[in-house]
Amino acid sequence: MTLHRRSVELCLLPVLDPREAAPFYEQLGFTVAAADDDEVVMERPGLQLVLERTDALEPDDGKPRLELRVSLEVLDRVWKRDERDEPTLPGPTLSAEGAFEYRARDPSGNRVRITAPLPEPGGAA
Amino acid sequence: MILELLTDGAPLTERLEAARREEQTLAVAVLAALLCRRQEAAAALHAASDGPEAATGAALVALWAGDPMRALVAADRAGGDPLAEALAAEALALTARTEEAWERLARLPASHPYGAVVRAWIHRRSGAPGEALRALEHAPEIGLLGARVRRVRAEALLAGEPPDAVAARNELSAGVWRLAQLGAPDELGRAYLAMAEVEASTPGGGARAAQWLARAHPLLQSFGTTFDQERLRRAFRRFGRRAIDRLVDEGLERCLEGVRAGASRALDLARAASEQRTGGADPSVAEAELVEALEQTRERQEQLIGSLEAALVDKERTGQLVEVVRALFLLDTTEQLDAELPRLALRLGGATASLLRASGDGFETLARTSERSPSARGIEPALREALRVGSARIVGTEERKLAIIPVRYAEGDRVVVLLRSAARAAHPQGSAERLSVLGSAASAAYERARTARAVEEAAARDAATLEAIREGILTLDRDGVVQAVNGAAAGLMGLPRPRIQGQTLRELRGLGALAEAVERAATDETVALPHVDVLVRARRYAGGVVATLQELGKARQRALELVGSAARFTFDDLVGRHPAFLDALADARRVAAVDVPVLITGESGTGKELLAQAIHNASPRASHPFVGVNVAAIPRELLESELFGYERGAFTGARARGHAGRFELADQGTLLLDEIGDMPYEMQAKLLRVLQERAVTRLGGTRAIPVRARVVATTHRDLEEEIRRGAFRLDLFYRLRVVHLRLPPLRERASDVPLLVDHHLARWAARNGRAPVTVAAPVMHELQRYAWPGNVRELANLVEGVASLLPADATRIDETPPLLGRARRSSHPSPAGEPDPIVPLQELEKRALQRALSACDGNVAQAARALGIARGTFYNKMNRYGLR
Repeated sequence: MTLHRRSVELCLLPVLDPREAAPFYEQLGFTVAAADDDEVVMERPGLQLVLERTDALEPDDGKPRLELRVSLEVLDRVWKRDERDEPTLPGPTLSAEGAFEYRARDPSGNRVRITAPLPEPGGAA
Repeated sequence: MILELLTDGAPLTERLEAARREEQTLAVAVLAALLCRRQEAAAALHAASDGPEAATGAALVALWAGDPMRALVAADRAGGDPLAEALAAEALALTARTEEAWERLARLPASHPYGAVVRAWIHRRSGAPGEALRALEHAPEIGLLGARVRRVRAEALLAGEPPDAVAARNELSAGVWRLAQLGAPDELGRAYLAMAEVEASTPGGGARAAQWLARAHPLLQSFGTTFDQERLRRAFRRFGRRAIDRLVDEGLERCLEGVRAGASRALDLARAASEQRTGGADPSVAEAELVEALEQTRERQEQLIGSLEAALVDKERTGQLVEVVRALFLLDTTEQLDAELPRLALRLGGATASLLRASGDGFETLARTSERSPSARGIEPALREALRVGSARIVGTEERKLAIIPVRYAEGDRVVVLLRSAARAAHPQGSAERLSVLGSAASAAYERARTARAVEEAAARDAATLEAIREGILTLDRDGVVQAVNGAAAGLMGLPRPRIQGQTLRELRGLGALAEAVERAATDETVALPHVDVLVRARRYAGGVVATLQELGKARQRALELVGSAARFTFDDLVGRHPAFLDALADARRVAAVDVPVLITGESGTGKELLAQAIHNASPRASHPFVGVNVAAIPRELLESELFGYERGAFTGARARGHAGRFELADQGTLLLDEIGDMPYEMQAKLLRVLQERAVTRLGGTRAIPVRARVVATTHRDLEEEIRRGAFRLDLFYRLRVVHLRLPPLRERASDVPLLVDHHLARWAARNGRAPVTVAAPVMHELQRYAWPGNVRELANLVEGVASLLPADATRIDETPPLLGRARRSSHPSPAGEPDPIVPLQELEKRALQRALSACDGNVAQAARALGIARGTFYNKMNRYGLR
């Protein structure tokens, strides 16, 4: 018998309206696996995210509730969307360790830290 | 159009694709140049139509290819196009013609985006970062030009007074983000390089700077111009020491290539000029280019020579350092290192040196190379700072420089102070790095010496420990060669130690069985050596095997002490004249001499174990162990391992070394299986197999160990009845009951009661140093009438208890013990209404304990359970009341 091991990280995130929050996470690479009014289960390789309905979020302590690593393109898309709504918003920043970092908020106001790797060398034919 | 290409934020590759599709050759050339696709750019440029815009494009392509002279020539053909002027200014600045560059820039409006960037860049290079920042105030922040604006601004912020690394990092962050979208690899490399400089300027940012440098390196190596590469090299020299060697080698190659290319180009230009002159054309342009090319070639030759010199000097010094470190590692002790370190440090360049040790508030001199060697006077703060930071530093005046080399050492930090010679002081930075390496190597050498000393001390301690152990100890390496043997082991092996050490056991006569046992890491195995049998316990470890040898007799003795069994009683201790009892004794005496299993039955307290011990002591096995095991007292799940033993790791909780079972411990003696009637049914089968096969296998083991012990079993149960109810195996019964001795209960031999009472009173008196005690006739009569459910054990306990309560001067028991009185009354009911006499609570408690013990045949655990108290509490109460 062959045993297949599969590791999936699970993250439970309270949101005010799961259905409203889901598209934000879809643009970060998640797909909806199951949904009802109180809970939306979303997945991407290695990570399952459960958006749980809550009446009130815990007070914001300034720390991100979720950290996600995405591609530069995805990060660009998220930022451009935010930039459209708020043109003065500071863009992704380059960390000293060599990654882009952007702190977004989902529709419920949860802070989400999104990081993306630096571009690979290339360009010349 | 070209300026729009520089300020468009769309990805370059997408735009290049579009330009190709639309056959905009000039746009293709420029975009390909921005993407560092230089061949495509050159080809597209060749296909583009002539004109001022094409000339501007050619200037850009040449500049992006790292050819400022060609860019300058092309820009001059652009007819005063502002972008071309700005490109020309940049090309001039790159070739150190700054004044001409300013002249070109002066022709441009201040708001020209590319001109602003070039102005800022020149200001920054000229040491005017504030001017640079002002020049960029209105510069665009989009597209490739925007990314460049960000970088130049970051460089200016970093060059400012004070440097603003945070703002610089933010600028670069935004710039890199744009470049990530655009995809311009050379500009990305420059931004990474600038990021390295930002990190290098922040405390503790060295490692991060190296990371950024590592990111910049492949980009600029592949896509950067010679100017970029030179800058990269400078950065490596400043904060990328480890990558320098590779870069120096690559730099040499590049210099050589540059010289070759320059010479080739100069030759081409010379031919072109000659042809133009011969053809009647004006050769002045070609000649001007030739002059430039020759100048460039000369510069490259100088660069090559400089690089070669640097590499050679570096190699020579590195060679010296390697030699010194090698010499350092030949020194074995702290004392040698103290004596030699200053002299070795001199070889890295110095006139004289001393070694100081940090001691309390000051420094003491440990060694010096001459009378003039520096002391700590006046430089103590510098010495402490060097020790704190952990790297070498050079202090002092131009005329008299001192190198301070910290040597961290757990047993006292040291500092080498080197008075530098003038020649060496010329390269302070490189020297400090080399001296730091010496300091680190010296620290390692001191630690190695300390470790070696600790190892020696440990070896001596181990040797002393080995000798102090009474057991024989033998250690063998992985090949089975004896590494250490203590005196006890040598004595057991019957050989002098020198004969054993360095040999394998198989090479030594008569030790083959021992070798075999050690090789398989035997646990408590008996091995016959030439002169004595030993118990071998071997254990593997990473370096080989350690074995302990114990003389078998002593080992058994110790084991028996631990098991707690010994045969103390003989037939003389069995008192009685009743015919049934005497018959049993006679049978027992006869059977003692015969090697057959014996089953002793009888009620609790009749003396079954005493009889078993008496049989053992009267048998030929008397000199061998008598090992008892109370089957009823051992938890069911442990019984098997107790009887048969186990190998290491046989089950959870098993001892790491394994454990010998009672069968093994009894060896050639007697094994008493007390309360065999309480043995779990499934265990009975295993016991039967052992008795049939005369061999036992430990739990988790595979080796059959011969059983040589004689088995005597006892029980208070009626085994035949147990067999009938299916609780005892008939086959085991027959195997155990080869001889069956039945001890009668005391009530069936009441005539023996006076004899037993006198016997136990005499024993009590002797043990307690009291005068002999007798029993009054009426009392004795009562004692004979009593049923004695606890048999002889109850009688002994009662008699001794009553005697203990006698006044010190009393010698006779005149009163019937209360227990007997109650027993009698309970069998002969008292007149109605007559209350029981009042007895103190403590007495009641004591009696309860006695009764429980008696009823449970002396088994404390069972007695405690019967009374509903903890075993520990029961023991405490036994001690309090003097019960045994």
